[in-house]
Amino acid sequence: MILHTVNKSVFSSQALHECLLAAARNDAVLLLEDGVYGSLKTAHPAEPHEVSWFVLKEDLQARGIDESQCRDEVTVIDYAGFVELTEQYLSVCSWF
Amino acid sequence: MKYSIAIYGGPYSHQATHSAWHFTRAVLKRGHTIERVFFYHDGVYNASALTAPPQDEQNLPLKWQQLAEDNDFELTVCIAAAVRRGILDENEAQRYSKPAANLEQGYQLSGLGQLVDAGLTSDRLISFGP
Repeated sequence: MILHTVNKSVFSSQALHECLLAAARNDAVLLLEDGVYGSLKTAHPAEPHEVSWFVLKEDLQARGIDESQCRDEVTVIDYAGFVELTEQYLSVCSWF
Repeated sequence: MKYSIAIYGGPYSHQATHSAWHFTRAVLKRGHTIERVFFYHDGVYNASALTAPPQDEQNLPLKWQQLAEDNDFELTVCIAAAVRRGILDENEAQRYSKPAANLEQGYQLSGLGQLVDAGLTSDRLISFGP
């Protein structure tokens, strides 16, 4: 059980793509910083994925993205939620 | 749980330090402890005592210093990454015959082994990349 974090936009970087190639079932992906663009309904990743999706609220707000613009399977969390995820998952792998 | 943080992004070019700062505060707020914050690659620029941001902006080097002091954790700067970028403590300034040292108080230069050690001795190691 790994928590993957991605901080690059899916429109300008391969980070999310590479993350999903490596991620296993039961892993989670947290999108933060410019990575939050990967949570948009218009940015649906092509790869099949059975991971849990999370996006950081503060970074969504900083970019003027409303939660309604995010894909349904993505859960919006704050920094406290980020810490909770790191408690639940055994290790954290950062993609940048 | 014991947490350590690794910061690879420099200030003013990447969000890494800001993200790490907010995360670290959230970790402490949830009752965990921080063992070490390790600055690597361009992240070492966070440790410059010569940083002089405008007064209406956050001064993250000083805020890290305060947070580390209040919560008793280490601010460790990779020595190899630092000296090649001109971040020197008194020892290194003498060793390389440089006219001044500029490592901010509260930060210490040390080896990459300290990052490995953080990974081994902390329950979680979280990296914030550029």
